[in-house]
Amino acid sequence: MDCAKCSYYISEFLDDRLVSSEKRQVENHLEKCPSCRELRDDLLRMKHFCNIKKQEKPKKDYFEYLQCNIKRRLLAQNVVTFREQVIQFCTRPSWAMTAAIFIAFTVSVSVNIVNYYNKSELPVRQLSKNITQTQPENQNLFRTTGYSTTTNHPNYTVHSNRTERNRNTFILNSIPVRTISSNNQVKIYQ
Amino acid sequence: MTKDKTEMGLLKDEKQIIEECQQGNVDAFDLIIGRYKERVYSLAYQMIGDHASADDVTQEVFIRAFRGLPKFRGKCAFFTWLYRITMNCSYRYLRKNMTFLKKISNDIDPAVYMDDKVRNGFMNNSPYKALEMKETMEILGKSMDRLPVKHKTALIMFEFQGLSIQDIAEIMKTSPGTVKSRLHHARIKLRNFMKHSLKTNHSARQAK
Repeated sequence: MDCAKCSYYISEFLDDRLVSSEKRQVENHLEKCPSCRELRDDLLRMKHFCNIKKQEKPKKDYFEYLQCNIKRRLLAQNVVTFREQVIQFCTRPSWAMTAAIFIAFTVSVSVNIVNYYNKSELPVRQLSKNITQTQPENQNLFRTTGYSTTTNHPNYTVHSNRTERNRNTFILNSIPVRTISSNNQVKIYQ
Repeated sequence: MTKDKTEMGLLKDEKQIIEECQQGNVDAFDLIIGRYKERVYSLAYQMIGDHASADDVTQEVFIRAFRGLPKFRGKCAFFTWLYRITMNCSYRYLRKNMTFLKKISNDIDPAVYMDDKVRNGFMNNSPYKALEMKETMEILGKSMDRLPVKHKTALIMFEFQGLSIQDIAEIMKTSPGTVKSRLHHARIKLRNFMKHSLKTNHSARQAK
C-alpha cells in the first residue's frame, strides 16, 4: 500500500469502518511511513478536540426558557385572525371551498342566462337612443328630476308591460344629464 | 402538571404524539420540543457558531416543524426530518447574516460554557492549559467556518452529533458514499487549516 491509498483509507480506518484485511494493510503501512503516521496523529488529535468542543453547552435553565419561548410563540400563532382564516380558506383545498366555488359558478351562470333573455326581449340601448333623438327639450328636463314616468311618449308606452325598476333605469340611461349642468340653462328650458 | 406531562411523554409512543401534533395539539408538541431541543440547538450552534443566532434558529425550526407536521407522512424517522429542517434553517440564516456573523465571531460567548467534568479532566485546573484549550477551540471553530458548507455539515453531524453515515445521507439527501467522501475531505482540509496549532500542541506535549 502506498501513501496515496493510505491517506484515502485513513478516515475510514479511524472510524473503524474498514474490513480486517484492509485494516491490516493500513496498519502495516503506518508502521513504515512517518508522514502517514503524522497524518493519523493529527486526525486523532482533531477528533479529540471535536469531542471537547462537543461538550460546549448552555446552562440547563436556558433550555427550559427556550422551550417556554417556543410554546408561547406557537400558542400566539394559534390565535388566527379573520384575515388569516380567509387566506387559509382560499389557499387550502377543502370540500367547503369546492362547494363555494360551485355555488358561485351556478349563480353567475344563472344570472347571465336571465340577463341574456331580458336583453333579447327588449333592446334597451337602441330604444333609448331613439328617445333622446325624438324627445322635446322640456321632457328631457323632467326626466332628470324623476318625473318622467308620467310622460306619454309613444316609444315608452309600447313597453309599458316592463317592471317599474326597469322603467326607471331605462329613462335614466336615455337622458344626457350633463347638458343640463347650470341654473342658466335650466331657466332657458323653462 | 409537569409530572403528568413527563409521564405522558414516557408512556406515549412518538408516532402517537406526532399524530396528536398533526391535529394541532400544542401540548403534545411540547413533549417533542422537550425531547429534541438540545440536539436541535446543538446542531444549529455548531453550524452557525453564535449562541443568539442558534437560539433564533432553534425557535424557527420548531415553529416550522409544527406548521409542517401535517405534511409529515412518516416515510423517514422524525429526527431525520427535524434535522433536515434545522440544516435548511441554518443554511438560510448563514446566507442572510454572513457579514454580521463575521463581525461577532471574535466575541466570547457568555452563555456557553464547557461541562465541568470535561473541563477539569482536560485542563487539570491550570489557567495556562485552560487558556490554551480556549484558543484551540477558537481556532477549531474558525477553521470549521472556512470549510465548504456541505463538508462542514457532514463533519458536524458525524463528529458532534454522533449520527451514522446512513442517517447523514438521509438528512442531506445524498448517498452514503458521498457523505464518506465529504467527511474525509473535511478532515483533510481542517487539518491543513489547523496545522500550526496542532503542531504547537503536539510539541508542547512532547516537551512535557
